[in-house]
Amino acid sequence: MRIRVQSQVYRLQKLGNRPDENEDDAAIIEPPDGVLDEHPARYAVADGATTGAFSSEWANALVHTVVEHWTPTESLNACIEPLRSTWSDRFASLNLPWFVEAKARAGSFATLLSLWIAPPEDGTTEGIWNAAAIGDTCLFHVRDNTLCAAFPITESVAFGSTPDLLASKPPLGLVLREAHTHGHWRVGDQFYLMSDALATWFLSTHEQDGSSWAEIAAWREIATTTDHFAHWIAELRTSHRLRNDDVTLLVIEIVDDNPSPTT
Amino acid sequence: MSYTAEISRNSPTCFLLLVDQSYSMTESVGGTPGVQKAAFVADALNKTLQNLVMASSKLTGTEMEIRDYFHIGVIGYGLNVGPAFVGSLSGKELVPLSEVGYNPARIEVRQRKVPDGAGGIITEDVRFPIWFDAVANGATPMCQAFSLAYSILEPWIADHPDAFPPIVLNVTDGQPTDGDPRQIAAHLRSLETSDGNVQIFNMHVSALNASPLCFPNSAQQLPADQYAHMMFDMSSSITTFAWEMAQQYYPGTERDARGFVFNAGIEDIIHFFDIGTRVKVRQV
Repeated sequence: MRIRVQSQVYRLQKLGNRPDENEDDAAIIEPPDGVLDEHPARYAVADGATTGAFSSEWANALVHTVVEHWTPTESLNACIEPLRSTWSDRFASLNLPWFVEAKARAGSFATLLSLWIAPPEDGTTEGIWNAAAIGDTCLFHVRDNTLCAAFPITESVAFGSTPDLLASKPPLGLVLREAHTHGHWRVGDQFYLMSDALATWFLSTHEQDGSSWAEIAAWREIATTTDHFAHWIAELRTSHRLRNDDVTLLVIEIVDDNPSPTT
Repeated sequence: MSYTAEISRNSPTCFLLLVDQSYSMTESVGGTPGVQKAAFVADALNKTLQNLVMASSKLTGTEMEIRDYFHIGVIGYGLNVGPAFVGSLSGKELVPLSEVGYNPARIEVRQRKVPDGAGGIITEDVRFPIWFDAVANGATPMCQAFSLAYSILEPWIADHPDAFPPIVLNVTDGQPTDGDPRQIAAHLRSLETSDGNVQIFNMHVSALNASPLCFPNSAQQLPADQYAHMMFDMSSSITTFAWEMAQQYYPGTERDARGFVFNAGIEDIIHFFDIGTRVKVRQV
């Protein structure tokens, strides 16, 4: 038995923008060769808010901070506090134009989702996963062609235009709504992490005919290159099934390289 | 004719602000002694330009970009009628938003109060860019201002035939001294792109401590004031998006409301600029 995680990230900017204008980001820390024997696999996706300053940098800093430091017993808000305390210093010494300084003063904002996949429990082919989220970046857990978990949003109608955002300044007087969940994984399970536009498509398609992960699997079977992803996203946008926004998809599969022979 | 055209870098729209600079603008805003109308309107206008630049600026990595979702013009009318930008933009009728953002005449340091994070309030310095100075001198040649607006927007529309139509915001405190502007305002509203007609919003700033009338939908709501009726007639019906914005400040605003505020106090002045310049921008 050699249980591994294998993952791939796909990103595409909003139609009309340049690739470097994509304000989503993702980060991954997996054990060597993806083998889940001792260390957890850690993933994060963030979606920077266009209205803020340095949103893509903030999203990038958040995902790297949480994959390195977040543990399931901790809040995301506490985990990123050291990052927050030094964030504005990064820009203080720059001679910024007035509008950049004003935006930087107002802060940077992003949604954030973090997933922790623990190694299997002794001698088994299953284990625990934990996730935490602020905002509407989503996780979907699929097993045997069934959606086992949708987190933190469970219905497509629940997406709005003003998700909760993790700010680079302390949320004065606000109670930040941070969601936590956990579950069990088994060999063969898939996790799909995605920013809100694609998550809205995922859930609404699932609510209609349940084919969302099958549709992702269909183009991934042909090829898993970013070009195929971009082509698929373009089709969804053209057919008005996907709103024009930055898109990030992180697909994680749990596989057994040496499955026990079945009798 | 739907006011649904995309507003983007490739397809900008236009805001043209007409500001009364007559002598009576030296008076205080109604109900707020010590706050001069001309100075307060200038602050509100500078803040509006600042907000447009901030909302349209994109900061990634080392790149700081102001996206030209809008072309902006400010016309003053008082002793003179003409472009009212000061500093390096002086004399320009319409400029792309990025040119506005990079070229304030000066940047003043002002103070604002903010929470200190521990339950207290602290004062911090903020930079406040200035493009437009308070001026109050001369009569109220509103007809000339609308004529100039027409001559600016007609060629702009010829260059942008499918754009979201330009929005004209007129701020005044007194009766026109060069005739009845209704006809020239109607002429201006008749200019159109494939997406709709030019929209005119009018705001009357009061020196009296009178109840404001904000975004009325019927002349029957107006006071028995010939001047209020004239400005109501000059004002466009607002779009669905502007109506949604207006409702945030003025619940109960009717769907067929006009872009008109009469007897505006200081809060109404700020709301007027905010509602009048809120449009749906495709952030590309």
